[in-house]
Amino acid sequence: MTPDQSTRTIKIEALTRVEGEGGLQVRLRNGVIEDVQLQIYEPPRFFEAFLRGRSVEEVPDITARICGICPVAYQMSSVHALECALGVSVTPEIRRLRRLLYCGEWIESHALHIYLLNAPDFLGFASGLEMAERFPDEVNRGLRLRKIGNQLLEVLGGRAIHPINVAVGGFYRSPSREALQQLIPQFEWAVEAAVETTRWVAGFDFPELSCNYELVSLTHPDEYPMNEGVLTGSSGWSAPVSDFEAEFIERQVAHSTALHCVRSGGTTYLVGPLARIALNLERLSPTARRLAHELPLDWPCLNPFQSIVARGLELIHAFEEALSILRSYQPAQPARIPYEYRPGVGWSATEAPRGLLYHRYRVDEAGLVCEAKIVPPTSQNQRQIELDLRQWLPNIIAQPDEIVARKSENLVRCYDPCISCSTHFLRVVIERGTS
Amino acid sequence: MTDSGQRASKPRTLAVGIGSPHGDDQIGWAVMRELAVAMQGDLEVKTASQPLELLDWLPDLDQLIICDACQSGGATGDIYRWQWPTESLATCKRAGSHDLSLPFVLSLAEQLERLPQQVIVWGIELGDASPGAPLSSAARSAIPKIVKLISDELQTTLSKSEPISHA
Repeated sequence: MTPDQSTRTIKIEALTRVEGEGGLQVRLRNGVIEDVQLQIYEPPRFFEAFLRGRSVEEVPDITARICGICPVAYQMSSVHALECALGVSVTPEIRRLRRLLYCGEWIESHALHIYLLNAPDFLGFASGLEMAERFPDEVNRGLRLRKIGNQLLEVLGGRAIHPINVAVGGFYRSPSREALQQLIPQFEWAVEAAVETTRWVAGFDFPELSCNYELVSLTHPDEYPMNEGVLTGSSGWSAPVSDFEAEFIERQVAHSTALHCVRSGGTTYLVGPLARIALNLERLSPTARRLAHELPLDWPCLNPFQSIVARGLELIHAFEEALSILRSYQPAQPARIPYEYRPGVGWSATEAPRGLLYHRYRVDEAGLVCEAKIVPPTSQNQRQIELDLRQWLPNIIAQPDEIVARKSENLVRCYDPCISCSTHFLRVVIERGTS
Repeated sequence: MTDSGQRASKPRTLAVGIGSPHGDDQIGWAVMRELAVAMQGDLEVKTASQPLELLDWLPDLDQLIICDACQSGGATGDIYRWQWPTESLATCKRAGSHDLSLPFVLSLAEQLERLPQQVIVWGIELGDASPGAPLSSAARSAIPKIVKLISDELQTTLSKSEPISHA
């Protein structure tokens, strides 16, 4: 057999139903998997460079535009990091309002992923469109859940996509009690609908796969992590967010314009719903926690295909926590804490729907950004996704290429990768000598 | 007939500009701003970042007008018009959220019986859409043309399905 005949390459030129543009290539030699590459070829985005020289007040609006799917996560990580740099402490009322906003984003993102992006894979449909023909009631339920999240974002953020109300120090205005209380009946319906959703997806037929993950998320003593906590790993370590860049490193790989983020020792890890639930199971809302214990899943769950169940539980949590905040809401007074510019460095990590999102900023005495660093969840998961595919492929590799490609793509979608915000440039230093 | 009766009998039309703040991808938003001025408050106008947002706004509509930047190999600023359903729209690529493109969303709305009777899609060929880039002069020059075309059509309810200009 010639070398050419012994090599088999399976390519997915463009992954579908993921955010951004990415491909996947699997290379085998003599039937043995030689290489798996999640290729990201969307033009790199310049946001870290774009932020330099901007005033701190502009940052939440600019970072919200990095991703159309999780603008709140970018806003939250950025305002917390800038407040850290400026020495600003927000009031408990502002903090609760921020959690409410984050609930809206989790609802919108998780409902979309569960119903239109991921469920079709388990039910044997090529797309959400095909699924809608056979399961119109379920798709309508998913769209209604998503819409409720959007309505919350609209009331709190000024608009559903790219909210404009978030400010360093708080919000530009507090929504009225009446505007938020009008949402309560819908949220009461939605808690039950999210429970139905989770029971529905938990009944899917999941491929068997158990990965030896180091799971990483924020943890907090009193609450399910969203916008505050310490970095925690399932192997038993924890560290303050200020140590993020000591605990994790980013490295460039030839096949991706995104940087791979790994533990400082070079090992991979997983962020996202499976990690959050594994490390925070008892801090889920009461209904979500009860269902998590009732479902036939062991926690920590190490099967990435079952991430959809974790998203369902977090959907319940987000609706239930939002409902609790809505019922007791009083407008924050003041809506925004004043601050003065001072030079400094600040950092923050919050939990985007897809996982940990780290921001660090250095600002000067005039309130301008001198340096920005953003590490999104997909760049943290990217190498782990490749390793999981390597583990999964021997189960399916004997099948025809198009089936291997489809089943590989199904696995990649389980992580809900957001490729457009995982891409950013390496800082390049060019030394120009003078003769 | 009372005022409210007159309002009830008037077909409900919504115009939506889809886009992002990046370069020529903001053209759909810019068109909606100018269209709202041209229609002097007589048209419901919204902006969206993702086609999927349309699904939340469809109930009780008689007509939906969509304006979006598109990429089909024409010259920047070229204007196209389609009446849904159309095969042509599939060739006009928009980097939609999670691959949920405009044709996907319109098809899904149709599948779920949410689509209004008439859906017109206006496309404007985009040039540079990189982050932070301004609207190009070629795209900007298309705005008054397309605003006039849409407002004229709202008076006469045309139903063409061919591109009206193409380089």
